[in-house]
Amino acid sequence: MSDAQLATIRTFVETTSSKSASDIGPGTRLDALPIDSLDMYTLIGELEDLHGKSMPDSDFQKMVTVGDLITFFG
Amino acid sequence: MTDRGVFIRSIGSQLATDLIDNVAQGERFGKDAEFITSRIGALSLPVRSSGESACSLAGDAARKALATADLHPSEIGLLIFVTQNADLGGLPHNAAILHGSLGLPTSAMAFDLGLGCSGFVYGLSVASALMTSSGIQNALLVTSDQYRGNLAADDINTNLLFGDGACATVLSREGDFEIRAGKFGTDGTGYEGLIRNDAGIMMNGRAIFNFSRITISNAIVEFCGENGLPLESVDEFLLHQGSRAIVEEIAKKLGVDEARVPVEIETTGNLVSSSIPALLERRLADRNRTRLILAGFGVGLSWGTVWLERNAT
Repeated sequence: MSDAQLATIRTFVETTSSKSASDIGPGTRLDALPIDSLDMYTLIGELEDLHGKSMPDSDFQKMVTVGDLITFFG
Repeated sequence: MTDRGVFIRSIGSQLATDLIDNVAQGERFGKDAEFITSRIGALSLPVRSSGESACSLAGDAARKALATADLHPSEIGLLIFVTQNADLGGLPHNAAILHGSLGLPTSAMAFDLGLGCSGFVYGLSVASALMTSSGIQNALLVTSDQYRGNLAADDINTNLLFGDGACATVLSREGDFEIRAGKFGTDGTGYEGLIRNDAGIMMNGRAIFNFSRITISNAIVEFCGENGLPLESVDEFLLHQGSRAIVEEIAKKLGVDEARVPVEIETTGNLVSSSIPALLERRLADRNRTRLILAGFGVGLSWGTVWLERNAT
């Protein structure tokens, strides 16, 4: 499942930023991704849609790395 | 009483006169010019000067709309004032103040409608229903909000977005666009997403962004389906101009060419309930536009979708 989530995140980043996302991994910090804060809302929204699971604001504030997103939606 | 429908006859607008350089303001919040241009979309924001109020801006807009419609104030039978900025704290209501300053007849119905960014589409439906049920020939639907004076000083989600202004729409039994149908919704469980507290007006950017992205695109698709309107038959979707990013995101969700979902926010910012009539004002005379879908959404959470069809006569 985590591989699928990572692929979703990489595809979103590549589509949104037109930059390579192949080096994005679980340890990549979210604030290092080449997307802005509004794109991040969309990315998490798409993960929510995909997994049928909402991320409360209290959890959103704790997301630091790509791995945190994978764990939350895993 | 006539059995004719209700039409949009004219629109007047009045922006606040002071201006904020939004690129410079963005730097204060750590956002570069690229973000302000491509995501917010507003390079400058009108802000109310000390001599301006919700009623004064609305009055200026109303006088323009009445002049364009070639109507005398005595011919207005209904005034709806959409606002969340009560000049005198709500007692009396803004509609009464404006009624007096415009010199409307004592036979006119006048009241405030306490909605934000969905207010114009709600107002169209309320006005249309009242005109039809009460035999009113001409109405004024005024939208006037000035959020800037009440923003929480350190809230990036609101400071980069909102501009102050007003619009006035004359509704009559003749005009450019007929109000055909509307559909509305509310999700009060999300009311904290955009709220005024002790610090001022604050917005949960993620909550409002997701609400707009998902709920509004779904509402438009549902509304068009229920009314037998293929999306490709709509000339333009006039969405509340929350920000460039949100309008573009809804267009993407709809799968509609962005050219049919205009973003015209560069010198106005998010004008709350006036953003849709400001778009519409520039389109009334363009007869190439036959069918429009309007969608307002925001504080509440509240939303509405309205279908306008060009008057063939």
